Amino acid sequence: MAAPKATAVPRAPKAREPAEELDMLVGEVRTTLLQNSHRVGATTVAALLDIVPGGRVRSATRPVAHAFSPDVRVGVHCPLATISGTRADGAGTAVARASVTGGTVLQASTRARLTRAAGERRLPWSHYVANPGIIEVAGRTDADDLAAGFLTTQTRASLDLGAVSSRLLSRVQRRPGIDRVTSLRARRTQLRFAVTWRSSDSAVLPQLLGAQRRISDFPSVPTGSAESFHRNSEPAASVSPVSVEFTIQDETLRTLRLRLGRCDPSDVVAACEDLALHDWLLSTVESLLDNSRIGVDSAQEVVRRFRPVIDHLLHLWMPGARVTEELAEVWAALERRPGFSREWSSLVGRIRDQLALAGLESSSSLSALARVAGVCQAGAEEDSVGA
Amino acid sequence: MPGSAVFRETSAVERTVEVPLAHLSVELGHFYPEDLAGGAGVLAEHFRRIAPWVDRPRLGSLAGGAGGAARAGRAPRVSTCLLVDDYSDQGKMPPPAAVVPQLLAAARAQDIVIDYIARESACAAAENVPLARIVEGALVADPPYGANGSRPTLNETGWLCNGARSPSTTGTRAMGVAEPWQPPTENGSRRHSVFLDVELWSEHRGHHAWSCAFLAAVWQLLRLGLLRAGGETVVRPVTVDPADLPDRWADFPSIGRLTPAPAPFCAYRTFSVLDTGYLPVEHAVRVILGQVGVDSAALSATERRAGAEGIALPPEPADRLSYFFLGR
Repeated sequence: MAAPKATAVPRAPKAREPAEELDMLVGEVRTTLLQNSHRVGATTVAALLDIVPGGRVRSATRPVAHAFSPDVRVGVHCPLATISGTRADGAGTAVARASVTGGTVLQASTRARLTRAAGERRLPWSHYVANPGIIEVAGRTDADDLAAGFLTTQTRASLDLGAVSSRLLSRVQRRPGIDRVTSLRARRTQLRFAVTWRSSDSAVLPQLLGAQRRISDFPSVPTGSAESFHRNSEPAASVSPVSVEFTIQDETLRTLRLRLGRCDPSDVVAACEDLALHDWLLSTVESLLDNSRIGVDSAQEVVRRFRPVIDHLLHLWMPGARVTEELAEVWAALERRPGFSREWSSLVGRIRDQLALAGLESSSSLSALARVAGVCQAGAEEDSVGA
Repeated sequence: MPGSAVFRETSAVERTVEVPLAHLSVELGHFYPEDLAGGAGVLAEHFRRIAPWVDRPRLGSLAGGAGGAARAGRAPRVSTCLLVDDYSDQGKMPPPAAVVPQLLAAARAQDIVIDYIARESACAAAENVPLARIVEGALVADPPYGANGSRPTLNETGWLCNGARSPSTTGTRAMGVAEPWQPPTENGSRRHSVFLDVELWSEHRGHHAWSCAFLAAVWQLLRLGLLRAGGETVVRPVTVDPADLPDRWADFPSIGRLTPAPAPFCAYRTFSVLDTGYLPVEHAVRVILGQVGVDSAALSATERRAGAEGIALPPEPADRLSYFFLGR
């Protein structure tokens, strides 16, 4: 925790807007395909992620192989975007890590907690280094202003955690041990998140009560193209501890605004990485299906095109597998709407239909079909277990 | 009521071991080959001069104020150590069998106990753990205003400073108009700067040589018990029998223990008694320590444990160092 040392006297708070407590979490996850012609084994993954001397790569094997690098710290001192245009500066460190799931999907996430600086004056750097992952905010702004600014109105000069994640992805992709050949086309996706905490005694923002569907809380969001899914986890009558707003801003950028009960920020980051992974799986498979010329080319040709999806991606669908109990509600809300697993099942169904068609087209390859269909069926079963 | 299950994989859990901690680690000196070539007289003079400043009551006052051990009537845990430079002029340092007995005798003559003797080369790499690389990898350079994460931090290779360097004065713009000179600035300075640029290492004939200042920073972090490799401790003192000393420093432990049951090598705070000539080196140490992102778990463990002993420990490692500089 930051133990702010005041060296300058903060300006007397104006009666209209007192300098309230600030504690929020912002970050950005970038997700892409690990550039290798086949699934990468655990030893190679550990070597790829060993990017900090003296650090320790952590890994889990269940329910799906997952490993992540030690944290990398990055110093920043820059303006912070606000939706109101209020000037705010941040100084401190952000923390980034890379992870590989199933030996196939590479992610990098960068996060920072934003807290109120004790004064306007920047402290000696040693203060910020001793508080990793905390950026202290100077300026008369509040959490909602900063969250909306971070999610939607970043400028060239403002805090850019996505760039840190992006550099980390590239750094891992350049390491020895992988052949940089990919079997399918996949975009890098970005999930930008901003999280505030609801203490039990604080009032829930009135506009969120009863909101089942909203385009957006943020006036600047281009509502024309952005799809937004907003859920309070409970109906209007009770005060919910959780609200989730997931917005697809464009083909690659998604934003996630969370209002949560008190929980461990590192668990929230893990949940955001998990969500980013599944969103990437959906986007990637959907885009591949869209471009697979279903109904134009022969089913066999189509199946040949998305064979890598069957080989590498289908079994990775395990929503919420690495999410703690407290945050399961976030997944549950997103499963109700937009219904990630529903969409995934539909995609898997389309793949299965093409496999069946391919089988009909070529009776000579019936045995091969049975094999591949078996893989697909297994994927669908995992899906229902994970959901 | 649904049953609850706990599932975890140990390889997935963060783990940082804790190390034994004294209240104060006292450095009695830093010895170069030439210090030891001067014979018993030079060493005797060194320990005679420092003796009044390292007596137990004085050290007790540095160990954490009036709290904890002192109030409880217990003596504070103080360990003493010194550093032998077998790194910068490898081969020039006389062998342990010659040096160690001299050091022990000179200290004993002033009633000073030497608990630990460490080798400077162990600060570069000890038992296959590349300590200096680990610390270099943990550097988070002090960013100038405008650093928003979009570009990698511009580090002059092998150099670390406490502010913004003066723009290059050798380059000229097109048209041959020289850029006017701009001063360097110290980040966070009050009004005027004390700008310091520290060389961390150099390459000489393919040999990567760490600077004295950088190894001194590693040495302070070792003594503060803040270094870990893969979450494991890197401080493992080995008992040394003064009657059976090796002929080569490479065969001497990284940290040799010379007394039977001393206070732990690592401590909440460090105190170094040094020749004033080390002042710039230690300034550099403070600049480096101010930019090292130490293991969070190790750092918070020291604060927590000191707190449990009634000692308020400053959160920043550099603030845990005390010095006594002696002129010649």
